Amino acid sequence: MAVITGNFPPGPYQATYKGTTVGLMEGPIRHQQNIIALPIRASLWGQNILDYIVQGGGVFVMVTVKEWDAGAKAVIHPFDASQGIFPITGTLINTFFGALVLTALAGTPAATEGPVTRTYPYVGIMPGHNADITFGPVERNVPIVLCALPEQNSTQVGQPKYFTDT
Amino acid sequence: MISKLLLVRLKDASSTLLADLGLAQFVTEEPLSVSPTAWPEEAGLSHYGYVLENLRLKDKAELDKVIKANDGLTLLDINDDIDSDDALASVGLKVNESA
Repeated sequence: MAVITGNFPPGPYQATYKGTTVGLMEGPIRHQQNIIALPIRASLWGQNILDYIVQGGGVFVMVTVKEWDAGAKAVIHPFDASQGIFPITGTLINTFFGALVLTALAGTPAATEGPVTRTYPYVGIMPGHNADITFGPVERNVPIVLCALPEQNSTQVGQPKYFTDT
Repeated sequence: MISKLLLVRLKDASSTLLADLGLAQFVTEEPLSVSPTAWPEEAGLSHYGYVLENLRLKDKAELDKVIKANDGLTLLDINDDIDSDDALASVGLKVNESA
C-alpha cells in the first residue's frame, strides 16, 4: 500500500481578479495570515507572556503573474487602466480593491480535499509593496503581494471575515 | 425565519448527512449540483447545495456549531435580495446544469 493515501491536497489553482481571469502564474499562489494581539504580563510572572488580547488579523496573498493580460495588469495596478495613474490623495483603497477567487484545477487532489474555491472579497496590491516589472529579453514575471481587507462575518457583529472557502 | 444555502464538498457528502446533522427538516427542495465557475461543465461536480429554510435563531446557532466543526461544509447567506445563484457566484461557484 502506498505511504500517502489521502488528505494530501496538491494541485494548481486558477485565479480570477475582479471577475477577470488572471493568466499563467509562476509557482504556487501563497497565502499568509497572522493574528495580531497584545501580550499580557504581570510582575509576579516576570516577562512570561500569560495571555494575549486579540487586536485583529492580517491576510496576504502572494502571486507571480507571467502574462501581460487584463487580469495580470489589474493585479499589478487595480487603480486605473493606465499604470501610471494613481488615486487622488484621501481616497479609500477599498474602492479599487475587488474579489480574488482561487479555484482548484478539476480532477486534482486539491479539488477533492479542498478548498475547491477560496474567495477573498476585497484584495489588492499591498501598500508599500514595489511591483517589480522587467523590461527586457526575459520573461516578465511580476511578484505581487496582495493584502486582504475584511468584511463583517454575517454571524457576529464586529467579527472580521477575510475569505470564504468552499 | 432564516434561510441559508448549505454547501457540502463532494468528498464529505453522503445520503444520510442531513439527517445525521439534524437538518433534514429544513430541506424542501432537491439538492443543487454545484461546480466552480472556472470548470467546464464536463469536469463534474464539486459540491451539493441544500437550501435550508425556516431556520429559527436557535437552529441557526446549532448550525453554526456544525459548520465550525466540519471543514467540508460552507454556509452562504440567501434572502429576498440574494438568491442561490447569486450566493454561489459570490464564491466562484455555479449550478451545473449538466449534472
